[in-house]
Amino acid sequence: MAIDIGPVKKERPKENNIILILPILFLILSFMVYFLIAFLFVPQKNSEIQKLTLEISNLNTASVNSNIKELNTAKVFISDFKILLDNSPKMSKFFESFEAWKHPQIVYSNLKIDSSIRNVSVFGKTTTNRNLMEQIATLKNEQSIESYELSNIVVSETGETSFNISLIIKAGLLR
Amino acid sequence: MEQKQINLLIAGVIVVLIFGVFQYLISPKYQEMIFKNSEIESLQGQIKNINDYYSFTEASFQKLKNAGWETKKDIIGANFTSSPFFFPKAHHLLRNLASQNGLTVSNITNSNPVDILKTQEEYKDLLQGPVKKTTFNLSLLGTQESFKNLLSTIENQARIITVKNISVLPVSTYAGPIPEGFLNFNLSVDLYSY
Repeated sequence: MAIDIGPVKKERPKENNIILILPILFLILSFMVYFLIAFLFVPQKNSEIQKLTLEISNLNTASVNSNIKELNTAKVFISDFKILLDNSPKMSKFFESFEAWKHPQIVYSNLKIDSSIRNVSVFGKTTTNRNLMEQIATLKNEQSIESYELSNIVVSETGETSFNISLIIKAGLLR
Repeated sequence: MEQKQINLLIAGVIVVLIFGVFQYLISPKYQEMIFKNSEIESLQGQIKNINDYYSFTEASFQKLKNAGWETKKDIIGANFTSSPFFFPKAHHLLRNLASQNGLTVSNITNSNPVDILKTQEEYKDLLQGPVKKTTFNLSLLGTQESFKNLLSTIENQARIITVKNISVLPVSTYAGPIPEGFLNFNLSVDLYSY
């Protein structure tokens, strides 16, 4: 019977192996994480960015642009039209109002209207100054008149009365 | 040196290497990925905003079309288009309106178009287009009733005609006997163009 007299192999303790294996595993894992991020996720994000940028540039289509242009034209036209219309006095309304409050026995002539300052001046003539008094009473109660001013009142011996009257009309009347 | 010590030394080197990989490789790439994510979010937001804006413009355009903009544009646009025929067209329009209401036009004059921004109009700053204003002075002959009708017609025109001044005077010169109730009217109006 032969007897083995060579050197006996010593078994490495297990904790020695773990000390080496664990860091190596972590190192491999770290490299894997790096390669995943660098060669998979980042290129994916880059291609997504390219796709979205292309999508944005394709959104500016000619038909949308022409709609926007048309809307802008409409906006300017309608806005300007409305402003000008709102600021154009309706002078026919003054004549309707004038017919309503003018004294039937006073003859009015030389009517002048300046719509920008809402001023009306007119020359009146009547057979008696009582009519003028009645007219003044009417003007005082007339809602559409802001103020009035009488001037050049001339009363003849026969009682015939002539006068000039200047009125400021309320803005609301001409709208 | 014992085997255990050698192992510990190698393990230490590897741990340092792991830190190096995190610090110089993983961390910059991770930051880059975060940055790209925020870029993607921003682009997606941009696309959403553009799409919302386009949907809004499309809906507005549809509303405009449904409101008959195609025909109204010509009517409203007539107030603002400028052409070499602006003056003859305006004279023709005013003469037509007067004669339709039974008034005789004895004279029409006009000013040069003035940029409305250079005028004293209170509303001038609200206007968006380069609006110009031209004043036309008309001398008319007819009855007060006809004149009132003319004013109503002017006010109901699609073309805006702003009445500035009116003066009503007795007829001074007339060839032949003056018809009853006839008066002289001086009418000053503004018309607009771009």
